[in-house]
Amino acid sequence: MAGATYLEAIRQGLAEEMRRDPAVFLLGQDIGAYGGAFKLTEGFLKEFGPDRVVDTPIAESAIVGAAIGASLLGMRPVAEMQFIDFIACAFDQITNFAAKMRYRTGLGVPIVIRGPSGGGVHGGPFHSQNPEMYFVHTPGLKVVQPATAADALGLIKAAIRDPDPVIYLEHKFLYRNPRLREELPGEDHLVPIGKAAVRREGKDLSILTYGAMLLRCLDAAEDLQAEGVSADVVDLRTLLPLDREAIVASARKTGRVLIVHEDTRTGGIAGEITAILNEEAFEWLDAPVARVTAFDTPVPYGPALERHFLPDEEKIVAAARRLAAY
Amino acid sequence: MTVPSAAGKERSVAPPPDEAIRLWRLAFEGRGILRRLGSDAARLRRLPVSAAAATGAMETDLLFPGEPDPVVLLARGWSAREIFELALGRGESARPGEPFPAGGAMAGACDPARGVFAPGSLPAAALPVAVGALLATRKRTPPVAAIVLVGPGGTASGDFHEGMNFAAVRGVPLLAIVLGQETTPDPVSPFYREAALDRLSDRAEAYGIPGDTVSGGDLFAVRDAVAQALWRARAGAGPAILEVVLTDEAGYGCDDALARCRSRLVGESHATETHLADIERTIESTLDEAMHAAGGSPEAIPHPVLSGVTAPSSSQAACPEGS
Repeated sequence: MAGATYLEAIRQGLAEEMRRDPAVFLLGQDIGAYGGAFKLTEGFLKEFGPDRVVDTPIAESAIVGAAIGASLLGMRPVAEMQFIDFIACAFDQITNFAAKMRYRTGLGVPIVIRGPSGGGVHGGPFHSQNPEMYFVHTPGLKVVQPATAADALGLIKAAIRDPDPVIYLEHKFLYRNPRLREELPGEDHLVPIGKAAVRREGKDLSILTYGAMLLRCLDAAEDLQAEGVSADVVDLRTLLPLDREAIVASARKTGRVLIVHEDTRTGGIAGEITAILNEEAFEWLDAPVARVTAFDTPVPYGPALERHFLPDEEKIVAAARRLAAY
Repeated sequence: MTVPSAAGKERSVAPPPDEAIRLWRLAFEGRGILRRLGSDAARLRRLPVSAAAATGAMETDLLFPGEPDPVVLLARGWSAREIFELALGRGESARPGEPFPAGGAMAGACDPARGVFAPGSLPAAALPVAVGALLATRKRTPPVAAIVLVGPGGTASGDFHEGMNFAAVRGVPLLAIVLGQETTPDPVSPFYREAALDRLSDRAEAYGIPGDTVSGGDLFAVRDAVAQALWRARAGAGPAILEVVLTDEAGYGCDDALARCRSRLVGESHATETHLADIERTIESTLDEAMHAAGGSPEAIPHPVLSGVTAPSSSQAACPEGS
């Protein structure tokens, strides 16, 4: 099948950076001989050897702490969380050690912490979460989540080269999604951290989203177009720092904003974006900012429950219709 | 509980006179700094052990003090004035030539080039960080070892376990120095609430690594145990735990340890009473001047408080209104 998947793009980005810079190395549980739970690092041990593909105990705080220590001595570690849910076990190392290091000492911690996030694969409450906002609320970190294969490639490379700690969230629903197969851009493709991308131009309302919700929003935009509603779809790509310019520009263009995220509702990024729009685009708004999100519950395990929990095309279209008619 | 020295000796052999005096001097100066900053007894208590650890290490070894520790900074070349400036948020720099970090303090002193690493939020958080630092330096010649200092409560933290386990699995040359207590001088957080063990070095068995206990009443023995453990670690023996026990007999205070060390320096003819008294006067005078100078330095606000969160090249934007 032509083109690369989202997962293959991440793999390619990691390999390119490891070939480019000997300071880049990987550490995580079962990433070596096993090739990672999702086989993302398959073949890396053979190409780069055990000093650069470090299998660790199942101990997320140790993994992140070790990455911090290595980075202080000039290395560029990429730490894998086998499932991003377990990043919670490394919370102190990330939010207190890595994030505050530059502010406290003047020394940066150039590490990447990456792992599969998100639901839609019946993983239940411990293998489906979207923990981005814990970290968006932490000054000193950067948080990215690609939604396309090309961005997966460009953002992992940019994250590795970034001088600060980057949380790189990769949605597991997208890993092998055939819709995302694409020919990847040429050598050394970088996507700047902090820059959103307009995925579809429209004039009637804006849909701001990221991660796996991008596909749902693009599908919803197609449905809306058939009804005569033209949607501007913005892929945030980076959640910290947010691309305020892109957000405000789209809002000023359409006057109506719908924010869609898979994360739970309270404290989700939609609230922050709404505040930005109130501060910087209030005069241009023709309707209250709307949002479609997951419910404020843990991610349910049962397929029917999970389908109900997650935002889908139907919910997005319904919210957009209400917004357009306001 | 009877606490033997690491080598099973009743009384340790003092290091060469200049090293023995350096150990005592570091602890004395560190105590002077913390006293001037108003630190409590608990923070002072660890200083003599820090001095023994710092002098037992090679200059190329990495030091993770776990808590703000003037002795470690003095041992690696910080001046008293620089330390006071860090603690007071004044002056120019944690690292010469670079802007003063807005969130800095004594705990913000960090200079990998000098082998000193800032503590994290919890003392034991430094253990996994030290493992990573050792992974990064494993091909250096001469081999590099690392010391992490934690109190008894530090061994109860999850990071202590994750760090020691990871260190043992990778065989990195890490020495965890933990402060134990025979009984407790601290009714607020007594030792028995931290561990159901007589000896914290017993934790080593769980990681398949050596563990040893030495009396904190004999700083020369502590220094010797540290030096030996680091030598073994650098030679490829992997990590170890060294418990330094403070005892009822030897006393728990910094003053007790310093007095005993001083007494041995004189008693074993490493220094005369007059010489040590001269050093003490010089240090006290120097510290007074350094404290005064640091207090008179401008407040360290060389850049806006919103900067220094991420790298200057970063595109992270602070809220434009600062609101």
